[in-house]
Amino acid sequence: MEHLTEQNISEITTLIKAKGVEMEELVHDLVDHICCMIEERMEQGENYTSALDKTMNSFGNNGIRNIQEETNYLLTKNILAMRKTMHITGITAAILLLLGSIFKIQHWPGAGFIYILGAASLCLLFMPLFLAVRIKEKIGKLNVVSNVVGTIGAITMCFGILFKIMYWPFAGILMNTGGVLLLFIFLPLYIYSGFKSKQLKTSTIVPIIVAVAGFSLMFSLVKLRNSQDVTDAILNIQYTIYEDTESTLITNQSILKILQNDSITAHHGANEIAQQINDISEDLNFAIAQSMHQEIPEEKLRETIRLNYYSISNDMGDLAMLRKDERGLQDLVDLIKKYEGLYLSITGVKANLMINNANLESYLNRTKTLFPLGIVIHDLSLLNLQVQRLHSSLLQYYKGKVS
Amino acid sequence: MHKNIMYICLMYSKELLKGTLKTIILKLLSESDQMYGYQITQKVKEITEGKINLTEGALYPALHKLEADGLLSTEKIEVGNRVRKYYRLTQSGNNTAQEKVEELKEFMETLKSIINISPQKLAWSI
Repeated sequence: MEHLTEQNISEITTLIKAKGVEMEELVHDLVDHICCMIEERMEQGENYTSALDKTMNSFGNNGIRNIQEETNYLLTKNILAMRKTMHITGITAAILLLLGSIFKIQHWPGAGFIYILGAASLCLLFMPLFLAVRIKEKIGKLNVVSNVVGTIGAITMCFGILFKIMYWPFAGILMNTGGVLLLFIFLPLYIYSGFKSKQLKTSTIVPIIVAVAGFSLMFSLVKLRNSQDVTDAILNIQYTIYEDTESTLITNQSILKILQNDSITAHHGANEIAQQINDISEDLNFAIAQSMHQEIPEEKLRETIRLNYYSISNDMGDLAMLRKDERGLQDLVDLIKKYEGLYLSITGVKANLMINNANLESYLNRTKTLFPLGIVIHDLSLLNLQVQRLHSSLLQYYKGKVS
Repeated sequence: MHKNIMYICLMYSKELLKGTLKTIILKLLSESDQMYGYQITQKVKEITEGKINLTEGALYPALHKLEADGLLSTEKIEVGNRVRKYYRLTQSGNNTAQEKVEELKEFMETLKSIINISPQKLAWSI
């Protein structure tokens, strides 16, 4: 029996693929089948070209493509319901996440709830279903592994982003774990299986490029903070406040000494109140910093508050510690009011402290207790500086009276 | 999405063939070690003297489905410049083939009893 040439066969293969048959296994079947049909015609004396034409025509216009459709249908019939559910949960999740982001941007209530719902249906329904459907499609062992890793990575990543948005703990760990899984395990496996099946064409390469580029952009966006210049400038502001407070305290101490030498010790308790304000504000600042960084030893932390407060400021923390009954923010505010009253009664002049009352009010009465604590530290230390400066002027007033 | 493919056969309607297609394939494969697609179509034609013409549109989807269900396994062998896929029964395919053939036999008997009902019998039952 006369065999078809290699050239004939590659022509037939191309023709079959041109009809839209993509399933590799089916292509093998059909190439052999059609070759057999052609060979049969040739045995009866036809030449190759006419045998090929007649054979291909015998399938009709869509005959060959329909074979693939029928095969696909038979193979996927039992997972049709699963696919449908997958599509519905996927669309629901996408809509919820979109809505959540709109609510978030508009500061409408309920954004968090919608986000949680969207992320949950994405991570707990859509992605596991997607994985199940992929596995049922008989994609091969390697692809199963890469799909399992990919799905777990995506779920972890997605929860990490949700946690970040909700200011829940462990967001960073989740995002990094998910990122590592996706970038360093899933992606290489995906590329490898692409190479292996010799399907490294546009439909494989484009997702890889999008994934790598997208990841890089996202990571730099997440890690993006102000430039070093801006950070330094903010650090300097805070540092100046502390320096200023310290030198004021020293000045006050030396004036006090002079007054004591002149046996004038009655300041109507103003000195004690100023001292208390200083202590409470420092204690609160330390408590705030400690709540965020338990791992740092006390001495080092006190130094950090002075020098590097901005490293704390970007993190959200709980305002609850400001609201304690004793030596809390409320006590501090009361003491300052008391001091102002005393100042007026001693000097006869209104103190006119420019206190950031709006912020203090909000720290005490916000319904949500999460807030960037660095800003609170900044507020409290500025407040202390203002009071100590005022106290300085009070002591000067006494000194003036003495001399 | 799903289009019904013509189960082209010379004598019988596609509905008749559809329910028995898997059984026919399994039965044929149980009688020989391994077969390739074209061979199966030719064999059917030969046995039925051309009364049943199994088309590619019916055969290959069924073969792939049987393979996916674990009843068939395949082996690719290079034959004259091209790859030929041979299908053979797996262990569970063997069992299923027997079951299916038995079931079909029984069904044919049952059908016979319905088709062969004589006027008298009908009268009796009334």
